[in-house]
Amino acid sequence: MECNKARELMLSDYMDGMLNKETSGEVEKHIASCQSCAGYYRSAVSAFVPFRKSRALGVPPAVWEGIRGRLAAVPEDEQAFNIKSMFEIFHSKWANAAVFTSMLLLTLFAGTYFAENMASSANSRLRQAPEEFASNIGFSEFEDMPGDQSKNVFSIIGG
Amino acid sequence: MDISKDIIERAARGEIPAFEEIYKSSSGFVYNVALRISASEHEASEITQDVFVKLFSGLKSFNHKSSFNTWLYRVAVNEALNRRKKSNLENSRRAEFDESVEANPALREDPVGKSVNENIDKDKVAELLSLVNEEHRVVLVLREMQGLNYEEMSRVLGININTVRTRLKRAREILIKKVKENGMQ
Ligand SMILES: [Zn+2]
Repeated sequence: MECNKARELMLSDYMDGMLNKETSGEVEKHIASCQSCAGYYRSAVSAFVPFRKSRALGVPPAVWEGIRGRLAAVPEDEQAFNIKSMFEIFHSKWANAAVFTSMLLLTLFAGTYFAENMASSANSRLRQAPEEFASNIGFSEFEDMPGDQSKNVFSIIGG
Repeated sequence: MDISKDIIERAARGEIPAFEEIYKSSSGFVYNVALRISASEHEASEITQDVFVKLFSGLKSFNHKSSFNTWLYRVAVNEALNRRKKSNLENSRRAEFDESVEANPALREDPVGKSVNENIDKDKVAELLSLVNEEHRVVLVLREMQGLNYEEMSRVLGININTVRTRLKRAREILIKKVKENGMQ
């Protein structure tokens, strides 16, 4: 094994224990036979000792307090509320019943409203009709007109 | 240990106790990664807060395809790097300001902000990490301190395994050289 290859492996797969037995044996054989690479390997190992010795630091308690405070300040709609959780609310039996009832009431209300509206607009058309008829069509045709107004028209014309 | 799907889903629905459990089990590595990349305890605290505040509203988009910790490592590394970018920008602006203060004595009364790096850890690891650039610092932190393997690092950093290997080898090479140059051995 060449010095370059030995050093490359030394600083990557060999150091990280990722070589198979055969290749790591070759690296070790090279280190044993090459003074320069042996020195390099020693400096590599000692450079990384502090990393292995170092301990993780504990998180200061103020960090969670800060997060908690910031979460409280997050507007409702930006919090972890989503469509899915909204549907979960509607998954309850009673909520479904409430939705069904309100839709039924809405349909009934809308139906009644439209029926009344149609009838009253039809009536208003009828109320205006006799005057228009009186000016536009012949006298005899009023005989078939239903209701009091046609009688009034008759009486006006006839009188 | 990775966090259970149930806890993640409960926290995603806004349950603070579930979220606190996630915090307890993962704030340690988030804080330490942030500390080693930012080299400041104050910055590390702020990065950790930012990561978890973002996490709280971002949990619902977590798809369980990758490991939760891998995902969290990625957010932590990115957050720390972004903050460093901002700090570096502020530092260079501050340097410009300092120069203008030098040139204009009338401005000397203005309080010049403290350097964000004032809390630099004085330990040996911090000293070593300060010898390499950010890209190399990140791989050294993830490998030497967090013990991630190449595949995990590849997923965290979004680069292929060969790039991880090459970058790590280069980082170590530079570190060894600088240690020698600085007579730190
Ligand atoms: Zn050699």
